Amino acid sequence: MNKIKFIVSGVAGSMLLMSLAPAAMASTGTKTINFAFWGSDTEAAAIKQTVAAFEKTHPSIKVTETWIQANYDQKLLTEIAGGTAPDVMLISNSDMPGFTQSFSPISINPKIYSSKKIYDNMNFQGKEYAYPFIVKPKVMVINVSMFKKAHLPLPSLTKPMTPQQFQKDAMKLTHGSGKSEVFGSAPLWYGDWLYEFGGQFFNKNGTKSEIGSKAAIDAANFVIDSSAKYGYAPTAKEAQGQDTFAWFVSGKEATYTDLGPWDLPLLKSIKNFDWEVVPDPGFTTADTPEAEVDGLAISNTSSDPKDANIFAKYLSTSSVAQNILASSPSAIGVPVIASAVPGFVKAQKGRNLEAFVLSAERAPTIGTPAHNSSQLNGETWTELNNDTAIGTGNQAPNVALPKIAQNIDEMIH
Amino acid sequence: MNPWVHQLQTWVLSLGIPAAFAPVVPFIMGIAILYIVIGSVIYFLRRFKTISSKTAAFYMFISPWALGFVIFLLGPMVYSLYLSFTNWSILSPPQWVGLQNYQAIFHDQYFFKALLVTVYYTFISVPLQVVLSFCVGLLMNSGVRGMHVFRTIYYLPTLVSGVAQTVFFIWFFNSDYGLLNGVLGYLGIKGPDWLLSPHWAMPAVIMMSAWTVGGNMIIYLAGLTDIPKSLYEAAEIDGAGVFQKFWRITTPQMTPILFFNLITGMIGAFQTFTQGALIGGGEGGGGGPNDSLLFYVYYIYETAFNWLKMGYGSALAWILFIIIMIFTFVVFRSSAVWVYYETDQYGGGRRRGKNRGA
Repeated sequence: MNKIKFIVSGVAGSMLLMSLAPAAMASTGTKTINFAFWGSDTEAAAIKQTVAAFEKTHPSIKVTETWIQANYDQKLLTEIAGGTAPDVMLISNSDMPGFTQSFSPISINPKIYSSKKIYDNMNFQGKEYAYPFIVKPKVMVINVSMFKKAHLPLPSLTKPMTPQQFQKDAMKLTHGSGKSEVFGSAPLWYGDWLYEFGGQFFNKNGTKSEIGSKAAIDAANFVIDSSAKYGYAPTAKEAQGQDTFAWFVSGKEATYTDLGPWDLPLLKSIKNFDWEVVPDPGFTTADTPEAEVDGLAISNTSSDPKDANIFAKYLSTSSVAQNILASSPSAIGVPVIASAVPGFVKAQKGRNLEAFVLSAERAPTIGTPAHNSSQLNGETWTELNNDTAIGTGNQAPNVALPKIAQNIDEMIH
Repeated sequence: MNPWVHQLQTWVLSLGIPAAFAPVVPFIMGIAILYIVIGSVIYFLRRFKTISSKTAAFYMFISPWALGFVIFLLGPMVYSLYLSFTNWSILSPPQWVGLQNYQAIFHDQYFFKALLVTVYYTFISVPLQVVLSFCVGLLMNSGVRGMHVFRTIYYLPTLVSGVAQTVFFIWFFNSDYGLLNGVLGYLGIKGPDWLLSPHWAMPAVIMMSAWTVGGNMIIYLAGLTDIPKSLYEAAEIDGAGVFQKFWRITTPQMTPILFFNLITGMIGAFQTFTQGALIGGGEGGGGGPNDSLLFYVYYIYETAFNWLKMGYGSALAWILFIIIMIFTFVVFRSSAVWVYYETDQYGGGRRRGKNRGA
């Protein structure tokens, strides 16, 4: 009988404990929202500082942080599928269209932000889905000593080099052979150079592949020639399994055209290394280069959308939060409000971080298909790698790229 | 999220418990309640003498595994079977499409490519591993001085995780700076581009698979030390040489272990993922040059998690399940003619399937 009493009281106790939960929650008066984000150690540290600043000014709202360090999209999807979507989610402009079904449309005042393009990147099919948070543009970093040694003038701090100027200088900076070879440039990433040449993967509406365009073909030829014809960038074979950014900082490459703000802490930590940041080479007529615009979206299943909006809006528009992101030691990107931009520019004294700001202003609005964008992007890259010398193929870009575009168009429709 | 779970988590947080533990508490409470229910049922069954004490103890002891199996394996399997008949992009509710996903698979060029790649890898790497690890097991059983050191050295690579191992071999096979081509270069041989070549990528990955023979080696060693010495002594008295002892005693005695390693190796090879995911892809993901390493499970992952086609991915997974079942069945059936069990009740010889009594 005692055992039965024990079991019954155990069950009753558990039920009682659960029934007390809502009462206990109500008695505290604090609401909790969940915020998911990605980023390196330094980026996460800066984001956590902004959260702390928010909690200080909004003591009635507690923010639970979910820092997802790898495979962000997949883990976010798992949370959404499991019915545990975070209230607020960091999302990039390129990923946003695929997630809009899970986001609540919001209303943004574009005038708050430093550039209309920033606002445009958070807008999909006429609806706004995320508060702009940070811009992460790409720029070129150069080894100043190597330019001086080759008696080459340093690139302009404000005006992008043309691709031809860049090619000419990179060839002059290339010397040596075998294991002691020094390259004028790190491998050129087609994903950047496509935009530098004024191309896009998809048209603005995401309804058609643009990979067969003249700009896309010219960019592909430029990238392939950099290693196959002129030899100023390592071939895929030479770069396989290598960290080519480490090659740049070790002096094996004179320029690196794929520098994001997240690389700055590493550059800063290296002693006796004379580097400078300049705009990515490209045609000034184009909306170049590619820039990642990250926003803060609200889950459409959030149990507390009001507070989630207050939080996201604070991180997006508060000068305190934006200044933390801009001027912390990691300086994770270009702030989205004008008043915080000077803080970012001054974050690393003596370096031309203005180049990031200039790139952010030129950032294009990326066209992304409304459905299956991951598959379409993946298929485009797979075919580029398999068919052309951007990867391991050998077809000429003017032959391969129009065929790829045709295949992708068939998949879209 | 279930409102009760959400409220419970909020309450846990309000108590000052670290946020990292908040998701665990509802789970632990759920398990506790489940155990109270199971315990109560078993208690009453025992009380009314429906089951014996030993049976009750048995069910209680296996319950952690049984619950884990039902919750984390059987449940997801049944759900994935349901999903395979739907279109589900995760972000919107699943839509029932019947057999459409299964029909689409047979018109999917990547399905056949992935299947071919996986079968190619399985049929070459599994026999290679089985034979090589058996040979290494024999060597490690030779009783040479310092053998423990050699056994440790051969076993060590199995402790390296798949990702670290693959990254290491990407360097090892690097055409210009890799160790392998460096050694070949000293011998005057120009090595191929290995992981950058559609023709050489798979042979390179098969060679990689031989690196972890130490895991199977341990099992063979255990089997080899179990062979009765008296068998060898009797054979020696009858004038058997080294080869005859190996062929007539060692090999038959080891066939159950060869069979075990063959089955587990084959199932593992069909589920190869890491090499396909890490090698070759660049921005386009893995899959190796020209999809030469498009392993089936990697293709399932791409389809389900990158392309958000969960229904189609689930159908692919079930097709793989059936393929593995068929191959496993074939190997099991074949074991009747080549696997020798010492305790065999039919004359101590090889089992002969339906004709074993003949």
